[in-house]
Amino acid sequence: MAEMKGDSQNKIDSIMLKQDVLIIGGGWAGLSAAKILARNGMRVTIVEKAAELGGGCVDWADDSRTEMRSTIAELEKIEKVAIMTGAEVRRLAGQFGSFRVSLRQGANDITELTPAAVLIAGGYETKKEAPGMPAGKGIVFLADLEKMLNSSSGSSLTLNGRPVTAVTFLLDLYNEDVKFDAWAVLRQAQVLRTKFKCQVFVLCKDLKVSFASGELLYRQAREAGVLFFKYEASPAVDLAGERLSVEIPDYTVVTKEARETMTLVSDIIALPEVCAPGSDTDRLCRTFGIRRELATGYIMDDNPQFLRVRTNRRGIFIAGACRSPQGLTETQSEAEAAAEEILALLKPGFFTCGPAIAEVDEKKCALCYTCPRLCPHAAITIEKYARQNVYRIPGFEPGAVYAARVEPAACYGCGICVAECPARAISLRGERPLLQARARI
Amino acid sequence: MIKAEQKPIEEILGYLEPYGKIILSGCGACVTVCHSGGEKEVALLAESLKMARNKDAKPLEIVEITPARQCEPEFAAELGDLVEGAEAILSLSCGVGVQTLARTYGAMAVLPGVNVVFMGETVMHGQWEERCQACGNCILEKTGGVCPIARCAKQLLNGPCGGSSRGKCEIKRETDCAWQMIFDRLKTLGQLHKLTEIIPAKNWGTESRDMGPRRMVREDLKV
Amino acid sequence: METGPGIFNPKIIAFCCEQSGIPALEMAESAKLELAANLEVRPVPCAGRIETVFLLQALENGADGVLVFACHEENCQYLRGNIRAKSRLSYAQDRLARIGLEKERLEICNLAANCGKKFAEVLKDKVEQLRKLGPNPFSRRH
Repeated sequence: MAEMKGDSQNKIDSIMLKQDVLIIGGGWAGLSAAKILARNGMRVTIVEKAAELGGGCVDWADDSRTEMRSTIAELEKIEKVAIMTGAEVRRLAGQFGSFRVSLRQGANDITELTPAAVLIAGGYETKKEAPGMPAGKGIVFLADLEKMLNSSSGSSLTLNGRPVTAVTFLLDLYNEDVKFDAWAVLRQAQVLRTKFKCQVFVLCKDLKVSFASGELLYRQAREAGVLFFKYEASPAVDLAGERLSVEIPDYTVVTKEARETMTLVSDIIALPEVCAPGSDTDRLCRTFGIRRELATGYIMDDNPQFLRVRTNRRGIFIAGACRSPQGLTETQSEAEAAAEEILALLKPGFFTCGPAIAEVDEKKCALCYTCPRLCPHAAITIEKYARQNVYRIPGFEPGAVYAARVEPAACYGCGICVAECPARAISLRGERPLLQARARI
Repeated sequence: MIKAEQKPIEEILGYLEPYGKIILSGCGACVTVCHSGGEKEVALLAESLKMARNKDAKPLEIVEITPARQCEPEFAAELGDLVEGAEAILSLSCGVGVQTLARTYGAMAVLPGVNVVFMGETVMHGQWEERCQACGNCILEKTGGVCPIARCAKQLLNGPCGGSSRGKCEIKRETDCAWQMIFDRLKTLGQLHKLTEIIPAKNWGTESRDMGPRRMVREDLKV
Repeated sequence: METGPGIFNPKIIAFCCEQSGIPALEMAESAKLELAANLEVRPVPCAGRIETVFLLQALENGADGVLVFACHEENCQYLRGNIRAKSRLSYAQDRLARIGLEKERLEICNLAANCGKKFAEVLKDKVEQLRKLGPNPFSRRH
C-alpha cells in the first residue's frame, strides 16, 4: 500500500491491492456475492447489523429460503470467510487501496479492517401503511397474505371467521418502479384462483413484468382466470357492508363519456407494503462517502453510467435492495455482477493509477475546502504535508502544513477540481495539452 | 473569515480609465476561500478587463500576481519587481491589503477591486453569513455562542424585540431571530439562568471603533 | 457552407467533452455532414475540466463564438461535471453581459454520443447567429 509523503515529484503509478473484501449486509445480495468471491480465493468479511443472516427475503416462503440456508452453510465452512452479526460499520477512513474500516459489534468491540474493496448490500424498509383506505378488517398487506396462503390447509380461505371468496389487489398507488410487488401479486393471484377458488381482481396502472419469468407468470394468471384492470385516477375504496368495494371506470370503452363505473366487491383488498430506504441509509452514505438519490432516498443516483453495481467511489460497490427494492432474480444478477467487477479489480493484485491524475500544489492551497466538497469521487482530503508552509514569511523556518491531497488511486482524472480551485493550486498530471486543437479529417 | 464580493466590473473599468498598464494583485487568503480574489478570479478579471478595453480600442496591459497575503509588509514587497512600468495597482484583497500596498507603494494609485462585506461563516458551500462585527468585547459566553451584535438587526443585548415572530426577524423575514436562537441554545445547554444577567449597554467608544481606528499593542513581542 | 471573399465565416471554438461532444463530432464527420468552416475543436475529458477563464481567453484571443458540448444532465460520467460547466458558463455570460458582450457568443449544448446530426445543426445555427452579430469586437486587435 503506497502512502503519499506529500512530495509531488514522487510519481506514484500503481498501488498494491490485497485480496480482501468487506460486504455490508448479510441478505441475498451480500451472501450470493460472498459465495462467488470466496470461491475465487478472496478473503471476505460479512457485516450484518441484525442478529441473524437472511435479510428481507425470509418473509417470502420460497425455494429461496432453502437455498439461503445452503449458502450460509457453505460460507460458514470456508476459512477465509468471516461472518459478523449484530455488527455495524462506524467509520471509513482512507481511500481505495488504503481503506480503514472500524466496526462495532455488540457493546464494546471495535475491530479495524483494511479491505481493498467494499460491497454495500443492505436492504430497504417496508411500512404497512394504507393511506386513504377505509378502516376495516379487510385490508391485508402482501407479506401477511403470503403467510395466510401458506398456513391455510384445505381449499377454503377465511379471514376473521368469514369466508374469503373474492380478493382485489391494488397496485401502483405508491412504490413507483418496484417490480417486486408485481411478482408477489401474480404468484398469490394464481394460488387464490387455483387452490382457493376465489375471484381475483388485479388493479394496476402498468403491470411491471420486466423481470425473469414475469411475462410467464402473467400469462398463467390470465389463464387461471385472474381479471386485470388498468386505472388512471386512484380508485375509490369503500366499505360495502361486511365487505369492501372498489370503483373504477371501464377503460375498455374508448370514449370517456360512455364509460360506466364498475364496482368490484371483495372480502380482501391486498396492498403492497410501502417501500422506503432503510433508516440508516443517510448514515451509510455519509460514512462511505457515496451519493444518495435525492428524489427517492435510495443509494446512488439514477445515472445510467452507474448502473448497476458501481458507485461514485472506486473500490466501493453496491448491489441489491439498498439501491432499489427488487426481487430475487434481479438481486442475484446484481450480486453476480458486483462480484465479477470486484474480482476484475482485485485479482491482478495491483492497480495502475491514471492516466490523468489531479495533483495539489500544497504551497498554494488556501484550505478553502472547495475540492473535497466538489470531488464527485470523494478522492480528496485535507492532510498534513511536511513541506513548506504556504504562509511562509521569508526568514522563518518551514513547518508542517495542512493542504488538500488527491489520492491518485481514487482519482478519475475528470478535472473538475482543477477548474474549480480558487487558488489554481491543482493541476491534472497526464492530461493532454488542452489548447491543442484536434485535427480535422 | 473575511468575506468579500468583487466590485461590479463597470465600476472597476471606471477606476482604470486613466491607465494603460496595471498590476492586478490577488490574495491567497480570505478572498481565495470565498472565490472572489484568488488566482482564479485574478485570471478571470484580467481577461474581462482586457476584453472590455479591446472593444473601446484602448488596450489594457495587465500583470497578474497573487501573493499568499497582502497584509504583511513583506508580502506587499513581493510586488516590487513588477511595479516598474506599471501605472496603478488593482488589488482584490480586503481593505487591509489595499492599504498595506498603498503604504508600501506610496507613489502609485492602489485601487480596490472587491468590497469586503463581513466576517462570516460558511453555512454551505457557496453561501456565507455574517457572524462577527469586531465589537471589541465578546459576549458569546453569555449568549450560548450566538452573537446578538452581528446577528440581531437591532443589536439588542437583552432579549428579542416585539417583532420577533415564529423565530424570524421583523426587519428581514428570512433572517432567523438571533434572540430566539440564543434562547434555544441556552436551553439546550441548561444555561437559561444566564438570561437573567443583564448585559450592560455597550460602550462603543472605548470597546469599539467609535473613537476612530483601534490599535492593539504587545510590548512583549516587539523586537 | 459558403466560403470565399466577402463571406464572414465566424471563428467558433468548441470545447467538446470526450464522452459526448467528441463522439458526436466524429459521427458528424463520418456522415460527411457539413460543419462550420472556421471551427476549432478543443477536447476535454469532461466538461467539468473547462475553467471559466478558458471561455474568456477564447473570446479575447479571436473567437467570434464559443460553444461547450457536454453530456445531458444526469448522464455525466463524473456525476456533476456538466453541471459545473453550466454554472461556470453562466457566470461568464453574466459578467460579459455587463461589458456588453452578446449572450449568444457563449453557449452550452447538452447532447449524447450518438448526436452527430444535432452537433452539426447546433453549429450551423450558431454560424447564422454569429453572422448576424458580426465579428467579435472584444477580441484583441493585432
